[in-house]
Amino acid sequence: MRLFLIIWCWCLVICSCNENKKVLLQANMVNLAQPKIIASNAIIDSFVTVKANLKLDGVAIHYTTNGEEPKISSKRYTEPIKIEEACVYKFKAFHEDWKPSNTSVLALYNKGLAVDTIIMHTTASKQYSGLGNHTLINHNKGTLNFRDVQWVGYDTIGKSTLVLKDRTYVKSLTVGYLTDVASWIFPPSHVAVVIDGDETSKQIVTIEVPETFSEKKIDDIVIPINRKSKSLTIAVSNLQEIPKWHDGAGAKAWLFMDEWILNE
Amino acid sequence: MSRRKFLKQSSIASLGLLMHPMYSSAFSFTNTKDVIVGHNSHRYKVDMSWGDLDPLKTPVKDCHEMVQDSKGRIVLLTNHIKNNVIVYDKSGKFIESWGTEYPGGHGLTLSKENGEDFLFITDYERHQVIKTTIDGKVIFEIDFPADSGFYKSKNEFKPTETTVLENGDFYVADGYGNQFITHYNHKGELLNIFGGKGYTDGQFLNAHGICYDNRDKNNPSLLISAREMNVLKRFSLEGEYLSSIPVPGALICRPVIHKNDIYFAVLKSKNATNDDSGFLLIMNDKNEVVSCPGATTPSYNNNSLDELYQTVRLFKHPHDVCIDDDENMYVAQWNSGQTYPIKLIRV
Repeated sequence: MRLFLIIWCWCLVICSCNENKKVLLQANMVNLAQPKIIASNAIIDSFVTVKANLKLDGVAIHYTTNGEEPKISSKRYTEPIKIEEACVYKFKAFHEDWKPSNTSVLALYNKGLAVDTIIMHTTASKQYSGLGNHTLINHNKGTLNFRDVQWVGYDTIGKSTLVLKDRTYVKSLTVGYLTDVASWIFPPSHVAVVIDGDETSKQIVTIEVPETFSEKKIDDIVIPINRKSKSLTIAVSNLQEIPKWHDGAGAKAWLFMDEWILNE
Repeated sequence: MSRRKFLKQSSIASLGLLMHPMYSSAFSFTNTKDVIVGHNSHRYKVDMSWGDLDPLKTPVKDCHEMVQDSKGRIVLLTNHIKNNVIVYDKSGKFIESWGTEYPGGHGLTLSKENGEDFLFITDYERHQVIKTTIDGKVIFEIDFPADSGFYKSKNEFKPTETTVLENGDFYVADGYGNQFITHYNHKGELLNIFGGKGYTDGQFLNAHGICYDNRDKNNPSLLISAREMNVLKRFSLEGEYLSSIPVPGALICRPVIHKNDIYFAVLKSKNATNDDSGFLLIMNDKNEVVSCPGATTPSYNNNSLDELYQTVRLFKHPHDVCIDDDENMYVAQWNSGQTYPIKLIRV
């Protein structure tokens, strides 16, 4: 009987311990936040410097430049990186006690051809007009904060013509944009490009509407041009109807752009 | 003690902690691997399932604020009109619920008057402040301050918080409306109005929380959070601006004074990529940030606080904290998927 009682008490202690364990938050149940990535500029003139940080003891940030998801075996970030060539960097934070973070993606661009003039056909929102007409071609890119003055925000179509000094071979056009669905900023629905006013050259590229809520990110679309050009008229349309899954379903979405790059 | 000296001492103290194997980092674990969050003097284990109830019987929407009453019970205000107020014991056991008429139930403040507990509820959808007994009987309702000349209609008045003085005077912060602070006597008669929306010292962007600070008995004052500005502002009881305490990166909700410290829920980190980037923040008696559960270790550089941000995704959108008589902390969250509060157990 005594033995039974002892075993019974012991079982009780074990059970209560287990119950206690279940209640309190354990290691590896919660993710780390994404590392903060700060680039001196996302458009490379001669070089840019990139810093990654997550101020938490014991954290390790790893990164890739080949498009793959960073793993703990990927190169470890230890000091600011000096970068001279356009590339996509992916960073991820690891910690023995927390689940890995989501991936922070940083795209770096070459600055491309110098644009002589920009003619705005539609006006940006008064509140988010950036630094004026040249914001889209000033070789400075907006950050993840939509209030950053490098962004040009539209609640309608954003249409402008880029004029080159001389007729020059243009390989492609890169249109950069912000996705921040929590702030009702969506990718453009489509981009139309007309070269030298020649309507037969018109290309329209459609961009997929996000299907779920996503974190803030800077993205771009590249449109092949592959011909000598003097001017390009670019019309970027905002999403006319925010999808059903979002609080703003049915309303017009904001379009935030920066930067337009003509690649050689 | 100067701030610098304090920091030096605290860094020596934390060095001592670092030597201890159990506290090898700000987020460390005991042998059973319970997570510990926070820094320096204020560290906690996390009970994620505290206060969980059957959402079909006792649902919550946003959990906005919490207080502990004189009986030691934990009182939660949610904007779910099936049961706006849910009363728990400290272990998270349900005691009772009441309230079906507060669709914008937001601010909850306890007032102790001659040994009796009363509640001040702000409702931004009703555009009112309501004083009730602890079991929900309405004492009076305060409408928008029409006579002040600062409001055209009730729709401009969306009060978020109240604070009550010993003499029964109370202040209302209109954090979602025109950003004025209104001062009333115990009967609810308007005495003064100050603040308003703007960028100057005496104005606010999102005057979300207000709190009576009588830690210095000879110089009582008001602490008011300007959430969008990431600043805590101090005003005299007469409404004169006195000083600012910047908290870079932290969208602070209301200040909650417990003993000599100030506690805050931080709704979001200003520059995070994810929206659900909240954390908690604790200031000591000198208004220096000493601990940030869920975020970066607070550090000062040339007397200015470095930007704070979420480092682990433990909290979503913390909206208020309540500290009980055991020094444990309860966290009510906005827009967190109808979750019940989280309890932090001080270690």
